[in-house]
Amino acid sequence: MIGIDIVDLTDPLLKPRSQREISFISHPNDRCPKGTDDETHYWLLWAAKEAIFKAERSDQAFSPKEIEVHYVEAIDDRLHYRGKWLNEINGYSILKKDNIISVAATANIAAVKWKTFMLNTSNQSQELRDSFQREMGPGYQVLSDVAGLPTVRHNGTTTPASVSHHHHLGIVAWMES
Amino acid sequence: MTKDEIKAEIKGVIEPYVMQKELLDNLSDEIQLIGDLKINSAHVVDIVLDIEEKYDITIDDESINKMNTIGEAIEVILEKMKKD
Repeated sequence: MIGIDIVDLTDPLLKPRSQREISFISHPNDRCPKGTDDETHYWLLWAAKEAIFKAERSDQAFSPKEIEVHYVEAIDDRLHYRGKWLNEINGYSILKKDNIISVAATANIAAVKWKTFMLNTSNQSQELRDSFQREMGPGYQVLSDVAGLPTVRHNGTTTPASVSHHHHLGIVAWMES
Repeated sequence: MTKDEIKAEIKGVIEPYVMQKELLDNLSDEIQLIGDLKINSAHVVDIVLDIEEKYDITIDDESINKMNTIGEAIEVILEKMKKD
């Protein structure tokens, strides 16, 4: 299972986040690293919850307050979280670099492959899929399963995948053994 | 304010967040903010903050979860305007 989310904090449409906005998305058991400012706190939680939601591949609606996010430790430039929603999923890594927060929620981070892209058109979802195929070659394709959730087809094998785009950035992540 | 007046105004509120502007051409009550207008889910709170400022109302998190469609957003605004 894999869930991914990306947030570009340079997006001019994003308004400042404070404790009030954090309360909109918080579960009582959520834990962020000590000393995290409100802005970072909000987006770390948001991105982690989105990634956990996508990893579950559920047909339920996204409800961030129902998803728990627990900070575990910092590993180099990654923050390691554990999360719980429908299942307990270990191994959430959050990278925060150059005002970009990206999250991969997975039980097996070593098997996750991902590619990020710059997006310029108004139909980012399609542009992301097209960019992925161009970059990876004809052997790779982002498709959708019967529930409409993303998959990656590679050399005849289809595996669960996750896509995310925000502002001018897009990311595709998939599992590859 | 009437429901139709709010509907006309709400189009202006959400317009900056809709990348494919043609999706705003036929704005019915059933249109979903994320599913149909393809608004990035990260911007839902920004839209709520814009609505609060425009109508001088406070929207609680329970109400945010009810604002999935244009019609539902209008209902929440009308309800809060009565209370506030």
